[in-house]
Amino acid sequence: MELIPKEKVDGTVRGLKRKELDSGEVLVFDWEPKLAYAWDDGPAIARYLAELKNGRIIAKKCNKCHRVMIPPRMFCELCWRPSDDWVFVEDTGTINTFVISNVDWKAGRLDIEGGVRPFTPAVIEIDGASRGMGILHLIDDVDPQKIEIGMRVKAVWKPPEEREGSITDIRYFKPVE
Amino acid sequence: MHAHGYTKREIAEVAVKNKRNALDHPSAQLGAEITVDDVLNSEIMAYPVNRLDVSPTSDGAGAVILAAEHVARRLTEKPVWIDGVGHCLDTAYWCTRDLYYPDYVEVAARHAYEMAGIKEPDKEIHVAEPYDPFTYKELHHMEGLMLCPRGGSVKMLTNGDTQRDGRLPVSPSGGLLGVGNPIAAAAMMKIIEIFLQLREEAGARQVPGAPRCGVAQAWGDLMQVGTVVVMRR
Repeated sequence: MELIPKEKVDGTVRGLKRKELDSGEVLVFDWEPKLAYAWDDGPAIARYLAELKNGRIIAKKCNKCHRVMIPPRMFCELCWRPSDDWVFVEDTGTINTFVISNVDWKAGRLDIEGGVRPFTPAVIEIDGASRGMGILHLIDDVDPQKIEIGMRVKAVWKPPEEREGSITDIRYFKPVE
Repeated sequence: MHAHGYTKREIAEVAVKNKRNALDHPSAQLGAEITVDDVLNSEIMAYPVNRLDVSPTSDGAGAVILAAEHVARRLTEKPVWIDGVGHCLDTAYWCTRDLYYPDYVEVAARHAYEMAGIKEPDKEIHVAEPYDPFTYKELHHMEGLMLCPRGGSVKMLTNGDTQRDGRLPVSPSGGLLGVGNPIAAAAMMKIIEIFLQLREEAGARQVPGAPRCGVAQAWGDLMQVGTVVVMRR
């Protein structure tokens, strides 16, 4: 297998032709990458995920600025010091912002015309955490057009046996009266 | 929209302006003469954002040559000076921030303005290239750069102040919405535009009034990084 002969490309810039690829004039090889990796959640997110498995949302407090932070973190990025107490917060909250998305997570088009419900991710300020402290999650069980900033929502959990210590242990949030 | 009652119709004017400006840019990918209704009628990507509110996927490159003052004076009779630079990173916990006002852009701008001796950016800056990957980001960034009061960007836009021949031209290049958004090269495109504007070499894109001071700004990563560059001739 050879690269394109130098005289063919010398002095000009052009795209490759299908014929050159098929005939082996261009170096082509198959490679199956092994992309195994491990992810260390760190102490704060690990506890957060473990508590989601228990059906609870846990936050962490900074005793200097008194913020209750969610997701929990081992440091307060405003006070620049280690954070302090673990505190449980509610599984209810308020929509800070949202979109009605016609594209999926992979930027593909959803078949809205065919009746597929748009994705409606939202930043939800969690009750018990400080004002402005939110998490990103999905809103469902509501007509997308009815979603509003300031709407009150509550977590819909997977049954305990299906939970695996993931943010998806909460299926979505739905409006509450 | 929630904080100041801006409408989609008003915000869409950023796309109309920038894509029209881009018609005069030789490297532009999406220069076009469009209307506000074209923006509102384009495909909804994620409401309230339509297709024409979004910059395209682009490939591109940009470069400038930096030189010491004595070298620059030897190389050219019209050097452009980087008079101020500011960088700021806000928290990576983006669900924890104010998602409307870009505090980090303001902090970066304050650093750059202090370095450049600018006290009244809305009066002392003659041409601006804020980062505009989305229509509304140009407006956010005009406010973060303190080119107008908070909540004042739409008024400036709809008054025509940010047109190429307006009081403070914004994205005369055509911006990312019009020229394209080659991520990591996009801010360099904006710096090059300010360079050309200050040298009065921007051709059909030239803003009138022989601008002496310009600002370029970049935004990115987890939507929490602001970089500001002040340039003068």
